[in-house]
Amino acid sequence: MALAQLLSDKRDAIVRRFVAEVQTQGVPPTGTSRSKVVDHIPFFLDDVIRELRGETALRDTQDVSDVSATARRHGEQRWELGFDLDALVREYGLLRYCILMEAKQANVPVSIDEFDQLAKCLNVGVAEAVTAYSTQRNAERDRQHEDIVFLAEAGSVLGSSLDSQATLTRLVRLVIPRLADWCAIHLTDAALAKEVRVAHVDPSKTELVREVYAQMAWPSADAVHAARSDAPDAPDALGTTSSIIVPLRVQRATYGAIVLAYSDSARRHSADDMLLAEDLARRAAVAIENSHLYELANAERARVEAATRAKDEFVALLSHELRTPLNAILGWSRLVRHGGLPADKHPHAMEVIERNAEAQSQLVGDLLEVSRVISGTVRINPAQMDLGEVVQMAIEGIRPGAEAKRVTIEMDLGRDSTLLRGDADRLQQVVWNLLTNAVKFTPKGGRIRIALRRVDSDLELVIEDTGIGIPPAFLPHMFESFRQSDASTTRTHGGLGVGLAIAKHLVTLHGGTLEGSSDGVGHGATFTVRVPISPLVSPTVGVKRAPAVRCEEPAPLPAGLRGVTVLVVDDEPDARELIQVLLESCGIIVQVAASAEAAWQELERFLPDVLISDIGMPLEDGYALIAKIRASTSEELRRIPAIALTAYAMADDRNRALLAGFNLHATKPADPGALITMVADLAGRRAAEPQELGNE
Amino acid sequence: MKPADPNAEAQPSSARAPLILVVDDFDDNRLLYVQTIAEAGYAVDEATNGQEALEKIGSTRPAVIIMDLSMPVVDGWEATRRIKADPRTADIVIIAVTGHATNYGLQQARDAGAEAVLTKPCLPEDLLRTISALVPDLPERG
Repeated sequence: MALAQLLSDKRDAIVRRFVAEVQTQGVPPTGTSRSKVVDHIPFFLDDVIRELRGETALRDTQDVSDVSATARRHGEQRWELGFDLDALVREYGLLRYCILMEAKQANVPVSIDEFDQLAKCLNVGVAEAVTAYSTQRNAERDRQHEDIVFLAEAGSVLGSSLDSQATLTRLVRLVIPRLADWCAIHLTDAALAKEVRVAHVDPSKTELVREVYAQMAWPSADAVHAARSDAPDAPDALGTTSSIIVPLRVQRATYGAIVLAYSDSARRHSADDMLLAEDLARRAAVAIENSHLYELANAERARVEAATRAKDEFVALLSHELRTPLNAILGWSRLVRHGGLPADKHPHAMEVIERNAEAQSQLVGDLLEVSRVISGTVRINPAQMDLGEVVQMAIEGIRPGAEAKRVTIEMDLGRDSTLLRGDADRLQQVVWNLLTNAVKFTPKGGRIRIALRRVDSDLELVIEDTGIGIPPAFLPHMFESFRQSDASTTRTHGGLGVGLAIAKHLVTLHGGTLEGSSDGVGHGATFTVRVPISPLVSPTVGVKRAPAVRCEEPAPLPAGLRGVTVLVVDDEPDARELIQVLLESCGIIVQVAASAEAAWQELERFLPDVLISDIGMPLEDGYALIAKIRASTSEELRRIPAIALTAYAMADDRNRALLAGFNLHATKPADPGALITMVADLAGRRAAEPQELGNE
Repeated sequence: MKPADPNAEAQPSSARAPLILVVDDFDDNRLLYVQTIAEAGYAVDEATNGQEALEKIGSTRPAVIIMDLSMPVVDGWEATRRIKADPRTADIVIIAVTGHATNYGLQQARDAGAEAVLTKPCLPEDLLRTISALVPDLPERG
């Protein structure tokens, strides 16, 4: 009994010695407090004393004795404190050493029997402690493994869809039951989720979750930076025992938050649960972001595809619209020249060719015009003008087409003054576009009514037809470029769909408005133009302006140019010859040159009154030629008036020609009357002055 | 060789010649090809859209159809598909002539079953050459 007495007397000294010993040897993890180190050691010693005294029977089956139970609790405590397994084993060795040292110091003899019993207790203790320690460690490992499996599964489930709605549905299914009995996901971006997603381990309680969640005052997702416990203040209808809120964040972007709550299982969220929830939320946020980006990319791709499709469709339309008249022009020309077409059909062939060439010319003009509209480079040159006159001329222009379809034209130009300050050519274009549309879309036997009147400080032109009308869905788009209400391959009416866009733009440039309305398909259409009358207009001064009307009879060519000399420079023989024939028909003496170089040589022997030069020519272009002329040492040569005649019809081309040194700029196809007038002006002789009209 | 319709009101010289049907909604182009084909000595008929063409071929039994593509009511692609889908008319040679000169438009016409696809502008002699290449036993002069 000597050892039992010693242990009883010196228990605290042994414990002190033990603590000092384990700390010296660095057994416990740093920072472990003394009381934590002591732990169950005094109780274990008490258990050993009782064993030595035979008060309990230490049996082979280890799990019933006090020693075993105390050692087991010790092993669990050591696991929780983060001791190594080695350290735990060493503790029992050190305890044995401390007991023996105390016995030695106290001169207490330890019998072999007592020594055996002590060894047995310590052996049982170390075995039990290690077993308990390992059980805890394995349970922890299992938990960790489960969490890893859970996260891996979550990763694959969340990553398997790029649809944000599907991702959210999967997320709520994932968290139950591992992290919650019920949950709610709230996204900050309304585009991603229209409503709060909720779920409950018992599906019949889903709606209850929605109600309870709506009543809770959750912090806004932006305010939640990490998982945090949000214990309910008061019991709720779901019997929530523990709840956490976790942000759905990727770097700095917050997509929302997820609320995870235990209720039915009465669990509490552990620190591990928080970490797991955060990890899961991060993965979910990445999945949501991916689907969000994917949806954005899809929308962008759809937009680009639509734009490409629109472009392709326009190219196809343009090809069709240009090739259709071209086919007639080339085909009928060929029939006249080679096809053995009977002579009595030649006038018809010529009429077809001219009509189709006009149509094509109009198409090209519209294309250029709409390109100017799109680039915003249309300029208007306002002057005093008479809108009534413009309207009347446009009506005369469309009359043949209308009569061919037996479409009646009624006009009421009123008695108000129709003078205003504007660009007559541009307003002519507007009226022409609206009237040709009216004729085009009005079936045989229909009616077009045109009314012009003064309304307040505006002139109002109303063009009303009994045509095919406009479907309501197309009304908002009718002034957009390249839009037609029927763009199908079975459409009845051709065209590029730019007329109204051009007209609207030109009216807007005049400070006016253009509006269109229709009661629907088959009910006709009404277009109303309102242009303000500038106060600068003086009603006493009538301006006789005669803007060129398309389809008008060719104006008689001015005479009085007999003896004027012109040098025509063009590398294209047909174009050169056309101008030559035209000028010679007015009595002009024409020299021709096929290149800038040839022209330069010609100018050494022949000084014309006017030079007409093409711009695009091989080797040396028209710009180079005029630059050379304007830089010449001969003053006579330098002062030659020059006209640039070119298919480059944009405003920039015109400016460039004038800057290069040309006096005037004319576009191909040249209007014969306009070209002759230009030559007459530059030659210093007014074309309008009638001289001898007959030929020699 | 298809026998000529004995009821056809045609000139005696072209009564033996098989019929060529020109389908185009644009008068100037339709008449151009009607004129060309008549000059070449074939019997010729015309239609202004796909629907009219489909109605005509039941009774006139043309050997060749010159088919514009973009037309009102029934377009040329659809008319070609329907003619080729009907065993009674599938053997009619269809020459599509179109201003839709994009690869897609041309391929669509081939897919519909047209034997040849020509791009406008298509000169009269090119059309005649294609007709005689596709239907060599068609008598060029009636």
